[in-house]
Amino acid sequence: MDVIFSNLAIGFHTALTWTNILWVFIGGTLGTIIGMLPGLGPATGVAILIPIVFGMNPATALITMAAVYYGAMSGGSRASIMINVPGDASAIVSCFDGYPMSRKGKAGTALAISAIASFIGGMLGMVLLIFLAQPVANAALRFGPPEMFALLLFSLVATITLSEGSLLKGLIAITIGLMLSTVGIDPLTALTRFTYGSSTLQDGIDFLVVIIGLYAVTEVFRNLRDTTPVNFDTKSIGKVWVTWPEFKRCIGPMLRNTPLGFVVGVLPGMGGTIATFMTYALEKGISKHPEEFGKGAIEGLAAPEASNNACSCGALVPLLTLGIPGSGTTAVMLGALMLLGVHPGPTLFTQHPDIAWGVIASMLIGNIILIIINLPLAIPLVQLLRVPQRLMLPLIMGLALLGAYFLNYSGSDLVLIMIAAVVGFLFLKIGIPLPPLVLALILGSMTEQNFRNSMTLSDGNPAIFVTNPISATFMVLAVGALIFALIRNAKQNAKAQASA
Amino acid sequence: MISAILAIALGLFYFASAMTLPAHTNMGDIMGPRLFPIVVAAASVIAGIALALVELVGKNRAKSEKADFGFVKNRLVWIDIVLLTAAGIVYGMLLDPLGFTVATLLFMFAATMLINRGRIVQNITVAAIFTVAAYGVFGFGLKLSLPRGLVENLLPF
Repeated sequence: MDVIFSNLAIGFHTALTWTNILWVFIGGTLGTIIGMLPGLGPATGVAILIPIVFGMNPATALITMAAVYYGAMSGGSRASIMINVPGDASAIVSCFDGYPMSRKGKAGTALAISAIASFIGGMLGMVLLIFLAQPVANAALRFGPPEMFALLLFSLVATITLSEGSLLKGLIAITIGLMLSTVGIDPLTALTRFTYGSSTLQDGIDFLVVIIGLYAVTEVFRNLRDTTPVNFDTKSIGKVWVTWPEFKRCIGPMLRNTPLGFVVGVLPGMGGTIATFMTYALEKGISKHPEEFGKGAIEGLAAPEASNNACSCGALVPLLTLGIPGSGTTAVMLGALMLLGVHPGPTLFTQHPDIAWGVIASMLIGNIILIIINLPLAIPLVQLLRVPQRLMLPLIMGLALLGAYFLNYSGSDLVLIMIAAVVGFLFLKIGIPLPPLVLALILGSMTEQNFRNSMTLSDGNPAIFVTNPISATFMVLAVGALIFALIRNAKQNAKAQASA
Repeated sequence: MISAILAIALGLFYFASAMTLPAHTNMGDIMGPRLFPIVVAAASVIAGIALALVELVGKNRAKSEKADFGFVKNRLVWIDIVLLTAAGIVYGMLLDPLGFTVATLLFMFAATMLINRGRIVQNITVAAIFTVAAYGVFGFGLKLSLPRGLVENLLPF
């Protein structure tokens, strides 16, 4: 316990500088705005804001990106409540009861409870993160190549088995990502691989450029079809506040679902979308009046909002302690950190406690700042929803291209970003998911090196992965996740046939 | 089906490329630089074949969604995507020779004209504001060095 407090003290020492507080404020506000815009989620937000972290020290950079992340997580539901269009996938559930509430003239209450639930979920999620981070990092410090390889394999498998969608198409996405990760100079032998004579490919494919392409420009393409402006009446929003009886109804659901959202966030592949759907189903299942759900039940909005923000805290556990991102957004954050020369992982907590604990402390401050932004400024902020998509999309695209240019000051990177965006868009059309591809591209090199180092350690005997207890556990988990997915798919097929 | 063919074709091509790599290079790394790529290629081909089988003989064949590109129905969107892609690439080629201001202004005008059709005055305004704001934020706020061209050389800073 004392260790935790002394660590937090180090963290607050970093976080409580004027620069960092200012960036938490800017990042949180920008994140809220981007998260609010239909179709653009936290990953897009962090991706297009990568250039602003250039020149920052790593602690401030991570603090800013984390602020964008949780800002976007809590901003996503604004559009759900006001115009029944989710700001991002994890805000879909907030439409179910949020929009009916605003139809009944209770938009103010809905905006308030969504901000309060995000605050409570975020704060409790942080407490869980604080208690979990150091032990996980300590355990991971003892990991050798076989343990690391097994963990990476589990993460990749979990990304496709725990998320929705076709297992095989997910596997294809992973193999494509791994293929791309091997392009360039092989770090173990200094041999050039898969460059086909191109000198630009020698340094490998810059995954940050690819990520900005996939998460920002592809999103622009996806949103081109519908750019009609929306309209709503801000006079009918009412007071952005909740009454005590309303709040009392939500306490239980918020507290219950925070740990659930957190655990879902820790697991690779399971993001806010799954957390919110699970939470909603759970609350509806145990509610005394399930018939009110979908018609404006306040707890149907509070529960997913709390679990959503707890989920983003959970997602930081594998990123900070293991250096393994479990979601698209944390993958983008990892990429930006590597650019600044910081490699998150267990050593981050021993070698750079100011960064690791600084970001944790800044998130506690950020949650407080966010609720201050979100309650009084809720009405002016939702006005931004009136800015038509046809004006927002060119701005997003311009920012994304400039961001890609500033990575290497190379105009030819814009060719790569556009290729990535078009290919990403075509992949979405044929159902190949992008997050597993991005994760495999980022983790590919680490996976290969740990695989080869393990095999060298064991003189070429693959049994090393199952005789070592920790790696064996991860192998069993990977197989378990695969079996889980196969059973789930079989059940879904059976259901589809029964209803056909 | 497209995904399956893509996975098999990519896997085979990648496998063929991997086979040209030497199997072993030094003592410290007994697996060599090609084993991992071969495993990945195999996984890709197997996943492709499995997907093809599921889609061809699977019980829920009727249900397996057919890729709908909507080339005809959403023709205008596809044209926009092609033109935006071209604009992005041209922007990359023009940034260094023309400098930040001119290239960004041109690109933003092109992009807004494609997405926000017809509103020329509005688009010129948006392009100009974006360029100036980006110059301020990146050039002054973040002190990144922007590509210099005609306009930048005329500026006193």
